[in-house]
Amino acid sequence: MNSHPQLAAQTVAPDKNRRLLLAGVLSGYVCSFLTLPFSAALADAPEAVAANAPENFLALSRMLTGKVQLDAQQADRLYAALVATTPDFDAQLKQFDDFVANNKPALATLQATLDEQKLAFAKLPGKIASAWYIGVVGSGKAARCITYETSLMFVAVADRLRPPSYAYGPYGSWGRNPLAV
Amino acid sequence: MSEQYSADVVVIGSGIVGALAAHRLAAQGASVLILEGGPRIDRATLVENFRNSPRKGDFVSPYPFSSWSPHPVYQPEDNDYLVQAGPYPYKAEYIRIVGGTTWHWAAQAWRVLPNDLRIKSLYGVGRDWPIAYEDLEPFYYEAEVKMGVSGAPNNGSPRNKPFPMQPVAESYLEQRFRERLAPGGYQVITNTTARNSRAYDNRPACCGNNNCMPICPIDAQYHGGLSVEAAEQAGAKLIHNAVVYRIEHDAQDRIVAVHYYDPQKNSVRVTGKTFILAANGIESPKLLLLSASDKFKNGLANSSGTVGRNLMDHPSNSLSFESDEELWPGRGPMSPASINHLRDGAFRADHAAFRIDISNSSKVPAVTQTLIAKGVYGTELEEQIRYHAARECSIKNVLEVLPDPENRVVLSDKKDALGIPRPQVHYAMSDYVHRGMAAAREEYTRIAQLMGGTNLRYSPDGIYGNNQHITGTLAMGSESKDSVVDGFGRSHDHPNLYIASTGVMPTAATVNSTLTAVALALRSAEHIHANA
Repeated sequence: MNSHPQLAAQTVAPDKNRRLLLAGVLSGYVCSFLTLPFSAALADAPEAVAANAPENFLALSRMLTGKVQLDAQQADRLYAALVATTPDFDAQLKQFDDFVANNKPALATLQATLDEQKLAFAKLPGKIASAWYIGVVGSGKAARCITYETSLMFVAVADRLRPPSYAYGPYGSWGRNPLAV
Repeated sequence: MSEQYSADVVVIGSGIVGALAAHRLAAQGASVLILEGGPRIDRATLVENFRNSPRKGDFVSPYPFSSWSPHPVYQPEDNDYLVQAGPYPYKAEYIRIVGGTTWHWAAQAWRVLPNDLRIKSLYGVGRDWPIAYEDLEPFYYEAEVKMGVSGAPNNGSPRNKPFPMQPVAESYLEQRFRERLAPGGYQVITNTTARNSRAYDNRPACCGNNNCMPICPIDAQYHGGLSVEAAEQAGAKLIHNAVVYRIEHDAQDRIVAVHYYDPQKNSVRVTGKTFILAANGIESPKLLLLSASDKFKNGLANSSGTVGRNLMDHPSNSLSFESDEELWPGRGPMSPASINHLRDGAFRADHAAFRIDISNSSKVPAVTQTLIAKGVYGTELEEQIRYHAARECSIKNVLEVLPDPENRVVLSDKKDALGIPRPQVHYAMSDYVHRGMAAAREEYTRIAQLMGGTNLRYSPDGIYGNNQHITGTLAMGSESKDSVVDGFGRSHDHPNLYIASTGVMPTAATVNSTLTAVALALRSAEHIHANA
């Protein structure tokens, strides 16, 4: 929590951290895209450092994403962005964490339960899930793109699609049945 | 006020239409000066801007905005540059940078149908063009060669020579639509696009980046920035950040100069022999109206009173549904295929004609947002993303609006940062449009059934998307009393003023307007050269 990047700089200038990560990912799969899924390339990327984000954020992120392991650097950056764009984020995070610990809600009905009880942190799961899956934190003028290529929605379909703006493959490769690729 | 520049031909606006006219004239030996209000920017920066944008679906977001040369921005907030007078919102998007708005497009480069130029004679609606399809045919081909166009030969528009290249390879989604819709009488054809199906003009073949809008990362898709490069290589000069705010005429009604502001509002006068106004279908009429003089109190080129009138575009309704098989939209170009047979027929006397466009854009962001909004989390979220992203389909139409003089661009009393009045639009949808939309909806239902579609979601009745095909505001015609320019794009009022724009199209037809505007501009350039 003591070394979060400056978010303002991230939104106006190309993000060097993201580009470095991407370079590593691409070097792993660009020549063998037909056999090596994007997600596998990501999974193989070593975790250089442990996350600085608080454990309750990491635990709730694991719960909401269904992932046992999440990238530490991505976690730190998303956490920092959520703190910067959500008033009282840490306080809401603690309330959400306590609620989960005390009530052990089923994930399938979590959101309905929070909405029904009109809890102050009811929107928090959606914000955290959006950060991980879509890579965007905040809304309106405050919206910030934190991740793109490593956003979990693209990782989830990486055996079928590339993130838009990245080449699918050689000319015409998109004509094959995606289930046969 | 200083006079610093002069040229044989002065082109106002550096979009694809003006720049390709400039290219032709420069290659024929004329000195050509292009004035562009906005800045110059390179493709790599635009790609980087896109990847860092929090609004990937907002096709304007990667493009720089300059206070001295503003364009409409609607997200995250409407900047109110294009003032809306109603009753229907006309939220046109365009980009004021070197190269213009075709930096973001789906490269749809269709010719009109021959009958599109005669809808008044044939169907009793709209107006006829002062020229025939045959007049445009050689210039269509010239435009196709310059832009690298390919398409299905059976797209309804006759041609004397084959396309410069083969149609772009079908995506799997397109193949399945074609195969499954054929028994229902729908012929699905590959779209006519300025997208490379092979290396062409020192640009690569498409690699399926699925990002035609807002920016093709590899220039497999043609755009106005390339037109400007070609014009400059042919000898044309370009000045960017040069905001033309007045056109000046002499006592014989000839145009003698234009005046522009730089970003610090220093004024520069540019003289020339011939002037081409190519600043798009909204900014061009704005500039003519701004240039009113003692003699031309209603603005230049406006003795007919029709400058800015007859504003048209292509509204769309749409249907989203889930197919019963995995198609995985997002592999290959974003807009690959069309259903074409509803673009013409006797029905045009009663309701609007349209092309049906089949989307191949990645649905991953949209389905993910929807699922999270529904509170789907955990492993279920990933499973559902995959399920829906594989099956989600969308189709829409590109529908003809008829010219109506009450739909128009005028000068607002609100001004931009340089003190120039902003454009104000008056726009309404007719019953002719609504009836066409209803007909399209019936077709969508049949198409969805043929695709095994479930979870059908129609766009709301009466609420239409816009396609940014600004037409009609500078319409050509045979009579000076009801049109702005003649069949060569020359002003009826000023013999050395030509207009090169989608705005000169008297009717909008059912296809994207860029290629037609380029062909018309090349024909204007031919006329300028022949009469120099």
